[in-house]
Amino acid sequence: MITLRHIGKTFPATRRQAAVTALDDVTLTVDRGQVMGVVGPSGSGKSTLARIVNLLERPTTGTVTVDGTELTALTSARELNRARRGIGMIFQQFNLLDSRTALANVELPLELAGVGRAERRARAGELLERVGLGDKLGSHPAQLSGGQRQRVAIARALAPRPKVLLCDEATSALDPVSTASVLDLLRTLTEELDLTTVLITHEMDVVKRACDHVTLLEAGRVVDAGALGDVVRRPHSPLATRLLPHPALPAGDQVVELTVGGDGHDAVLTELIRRYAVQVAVVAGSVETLGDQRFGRLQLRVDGAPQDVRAALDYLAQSGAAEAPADRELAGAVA
Amino acid sequence: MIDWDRIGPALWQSTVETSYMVSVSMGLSVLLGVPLGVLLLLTAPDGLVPRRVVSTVVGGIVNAGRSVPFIVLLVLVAPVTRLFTGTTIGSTATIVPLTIAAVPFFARLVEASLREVAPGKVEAARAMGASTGQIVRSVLLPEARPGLVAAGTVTLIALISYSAMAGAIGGGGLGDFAIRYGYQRFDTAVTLACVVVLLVMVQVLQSAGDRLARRLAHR
Repeated sequence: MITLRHIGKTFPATRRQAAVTALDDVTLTVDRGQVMGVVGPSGSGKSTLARIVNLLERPTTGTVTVDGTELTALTSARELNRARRGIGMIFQQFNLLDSRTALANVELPLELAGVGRAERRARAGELLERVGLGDKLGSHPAQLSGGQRQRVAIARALAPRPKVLLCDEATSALDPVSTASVLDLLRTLTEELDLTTVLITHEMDVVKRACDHVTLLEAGRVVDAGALGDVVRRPHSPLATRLLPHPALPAGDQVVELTVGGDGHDAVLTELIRRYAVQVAVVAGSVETLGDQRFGRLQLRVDGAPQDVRAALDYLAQSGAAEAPADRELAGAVA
Repeated sequence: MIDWDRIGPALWQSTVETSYMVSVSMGLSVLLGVPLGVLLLLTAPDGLVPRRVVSTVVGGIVNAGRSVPFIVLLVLVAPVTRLFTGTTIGSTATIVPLTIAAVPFFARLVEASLREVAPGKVEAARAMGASTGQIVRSVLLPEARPGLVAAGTVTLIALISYSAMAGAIGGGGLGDFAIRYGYQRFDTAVTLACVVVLLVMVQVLQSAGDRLARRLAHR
């Protein structure tokens, strides 16, 4: 649905500062129906990346393709404006018009597209109802809370029935409760309306709650990317460490680290104990909910006869769930 | 003692003339100043359609218009005034220099008010696929309304004081009345009466403008 190929973006030097390379050879694909989280520290280029998807910012190099249309190849402003109607966007600061009521704010994109008044009204009312603001149609943004304003902004972004929704730090100005409910709303809407969503954020919790795919940007480059379930199972990838922290390890223990959860890896621990004559102790562990799946990272001490321990560890290695920290001796102590 | 039978009708007549001059030139200033202010904003280096030459030339003309003292401008534009109205005396003739003085003044205030609109709102409209014209009509002007009303009030009051100044060269209205009767004939009562009428006008317009701006600002 969204394909960015070899995107580079350099802001030319100004009187005040030297030229800045915000993005460097970024290639990224978001398939239909995915919720892609783009994370990274501030200054990593993630907001620039969001603005490049709908060409608010034109890339210096590379191509942007959304829903089969190569936006970077469009030459007329009219064509680009039409393409932008298929891409909704919400912002950290909501960017609602203070002079308009919630209903009139949601009507705005339809007005711009030339939709008639009655149809506009009906669609805007229906959307505000959908985001839980059916009783706030006549309120001005100043009369609404931050969470409510972002819901109006979501309704506004969805009014022209876009296929893609861009969220640029959409929850960064909200309190934790509003953040959670806005993220859940985004997730439900993505499913129900068959949207493809890109969620720009600096908070890993946002990715954990709302995304199914994730890309890590650092200094304008993609450092790590993948489906959430795959990424956590690569225990020493930069994202896995952020999504599912390595538990603190008690000193002096010889351990094996196991990542469990998601689909198909739940049974590993049970099987281990059932099949091998070893004693298994969990010495440390952390558990996280990622999307709608739960993942755990456990550190185990496996004790028993040397050949049993060896067999058990081989089994773990084969299962794909275990990976011993490279710098640690992987061996069970003989009782 | 003020002799109302003597002053009254002339004072009323002058007030009507002043209102006429000020309202017509205010109307013209809005008609010309708003597009000019929009042009200044859009063509600025950081505007939506940066045009260096247009911005420099138009900005230069606006600055020139604002830097000439009004009393000098009155004399300077006399030929233009004659061209439009056939005379340089009287309240209709005064509308021309008043408008020429107020348009650049108001245009700069319009530009400043539009600049106050949060850039994020413009960005959101661009993301919706709005054209530049649509951004001006649907986002910038409506969002800047409280600021525009305040700018209009300031301009209106400046026009009242300018119009009184035009009285010095026979421009009609309260200024004219005060100078010819109050000053030249040493009739202090006339001067005072004119001052009071002007004072009331300014007070009423300012508080009406403030009230309107407050009502339009949904904050």
